[in-house]
This record gives sequence, C-alpha cells and structure tokens, in this order.
Amino acid sequence: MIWKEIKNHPTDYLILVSGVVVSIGLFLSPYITLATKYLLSLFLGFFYAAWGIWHHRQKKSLSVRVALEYVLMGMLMSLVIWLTLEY
Amino acid sequence: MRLRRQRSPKNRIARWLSHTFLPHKRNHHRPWILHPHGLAMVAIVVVAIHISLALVLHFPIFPNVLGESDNITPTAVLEQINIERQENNLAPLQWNDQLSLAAQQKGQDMLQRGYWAHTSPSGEEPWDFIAESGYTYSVAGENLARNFHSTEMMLSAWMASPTHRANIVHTKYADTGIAVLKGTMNGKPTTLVVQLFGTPEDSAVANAPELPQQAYAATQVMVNSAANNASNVLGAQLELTPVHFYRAGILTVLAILLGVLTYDMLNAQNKKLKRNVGKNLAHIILLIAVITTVLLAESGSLL
Repeated sequence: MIWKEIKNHPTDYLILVSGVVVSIGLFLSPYITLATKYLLSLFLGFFYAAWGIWHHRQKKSLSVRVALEYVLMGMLMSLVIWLTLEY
Repeated sequence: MRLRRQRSPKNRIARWLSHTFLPHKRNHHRPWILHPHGLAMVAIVVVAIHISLALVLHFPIFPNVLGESDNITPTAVLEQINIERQENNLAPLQWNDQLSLAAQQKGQDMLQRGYWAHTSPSGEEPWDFIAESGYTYSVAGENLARNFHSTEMMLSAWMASPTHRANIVHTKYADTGIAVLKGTMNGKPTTLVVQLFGTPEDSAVANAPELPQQAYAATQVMVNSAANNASNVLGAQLELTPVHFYRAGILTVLAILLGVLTYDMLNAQNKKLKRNVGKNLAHIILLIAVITTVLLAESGSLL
C-alpha cells in the first residue's frame, strides 16, 4: 500500500521529501543564522500544510477536517523545532 | 430500563489508552491522538514541557545548569588551540594573564549589558579591553562563542569557520587569554567563551608588513552539526541537565506519535479501511525529519 501510494503520486512525494530534506539540511547547516532557522521552522509548517491541501485537492478528497489535520500537524512540527531552537 | 455498568478505574484507564492510541470502532478506526483535538492536545503537551523547563531554569533546582559548560575550561581551550597550531606547524600560544583579564572583563560586560557582539553598544572595541588590562599589543584578535557544551564542540565550530580559524592559526600571534563565563543574557542561560589573541609591541614576530593591526572573526555562524555532537560524546563527560530532560520529553512525545501513526497505517492497510483522513505516510516522513532535527540540533553560536 505504501509503495502503491508512492507509485500513484511520485511527484507529490518527491516534492514533499525534497522540501523536508532541504529544510532539515538548512537547519543543521553551520552557516545559517538563528533568525533564519526560526523562519525555516515556520516555513516547514506552512510547506507541509500547503502540500497536504494540494495533494488532497488533486485527489478530490479534500475536506475541512483533512485540511485541519495537515495545518495542525505542520503547526505542531514548527512549534517543536522552534522550541528546540530556544535551547 | 437502561442500566449503566460501572467501570473500575483500571478499566477506564485501559479504555482511555485504547481510545487515544489505538484505532477501533469507537474512534472511527483512527486513534484520537491523530484527530484535530488530539493533535492540539499534543501541542499543549509540548508547550507544557517547554514551560516546565523555563521554570526549572528560572528557579534552578539543579546547580550548574546554566549553559551546561562545565566541560569548557580555559586550560582545555588553550590545549586544543595549541594542538591545532602544532598541526599547522606553528608555535604554541602562551597564556597571558593580562589578556585573560581583558577577556574576563569583556565577557562580564557582555553579560551585564546583554549584547552579543564584538563591539559594545557604547562603541567599545575588544582592543579597548586589552588596552585597559595594560597589555600593549602590535597585533590583536578576538574569537567569541556562546552556549557550546564542550571544548571539542566549540573548537570544531571555530575551525569550521574561516574567520575564526584564521585567528587560531594566525602566524603572528604569540599570546592568548581565555575566559569562560556563565550567566544570563536577555533572560536566557548563557555560557560565553571569550578568547583574545595578541602579540606584544616589542615582539619580533609582529614586524611582518602584511599584518592587520587588529582582527576578529566578524561572521556569525550558527552551529548545528552531527559531527559536533560526535566530538562532544568523545571528548567530554556527560552531564545531565534540564535541557537534556526537555529534549528527552519532546522526543518521547514525537516517538509516541510516530508509533501511533505507523500502527494506524499498517492497521488500515491490513483491514483495507477506506477513510478520508490525512496521509499517514506523509505525516511519518515529516515526523522522522523533525525527530532527526531535534536529535542533531546542538545550538551554539560564534562571533
């Protein structure tokens, strides 16, 4: 099912993995300032929510509940990274 | 007549755990924690862990928790610096009490006035502190670091930064002074390392024409690297602090979420459930990335 899902939407998952990997790579880079890292944590949340909504819209399975799930998951992960940066 | 069966507290807890973490009919085959309310609750738990840490740091329960820098000592920094210099076929730097006093005063000034810069808000340069200490220099430099957890980690970061490295392996420096200070800067626990480099005015090594009179590492570089963590583990004894417990707490929450998502995905696959919910696979990809970030992120900064 996992492979079927990826096989059916290769571009979607390629975009997701690329966005996430680039964000994390920048987080761990020694040449990025703290302020940029805070912005990156917000970007990651927005990117994920946007990806989820776009993906489900393409599949015509978008509902308010699904959109809310992606927004909350994105916000939660942004929050975790933001708070981690504090220490 | 409708009878309501009384449940024992044990059964209630089991039912709550099952409802929260396992998919079944009562939660529409989706664990409650993955519902919007559940995700919001996880966010509240994360904030609660963060607030707990802030309180522990504000009202210290443990001694020596500020900045976790017991692993950084001026002697260890000097030893490491001289190892780097020897590897570059340079003479070791000599400890200088006047430069150390200047470094100490510079660090205290930074903590007291809450600035993170080579130049103070009133325009005092590192050279002013050196001059006040009575050290007359022909060449001088400054490296700054804050919130590193070990000498090895800090040195790795300095050596990875071209401007800081240039100071460390500068051919013309003869003396150094180092200060390690703990305190709070803008309300946050902070550990500062101030290293001043210098060459006395009458020194023979200072007469090269291409030398800059004063040099300091002018770029700010955030350090978050796996390599630095590895050197920390190798080089220093582990000290558990509230920050470690905070990270462990956050990682536990994320690991639980990852476990629930994975189980839910496999369960839906096995039972061929048709649900209009978010993609567990996408959530798992994001979670793994965030867990990796939390594990590898080791904040410290250079200036």
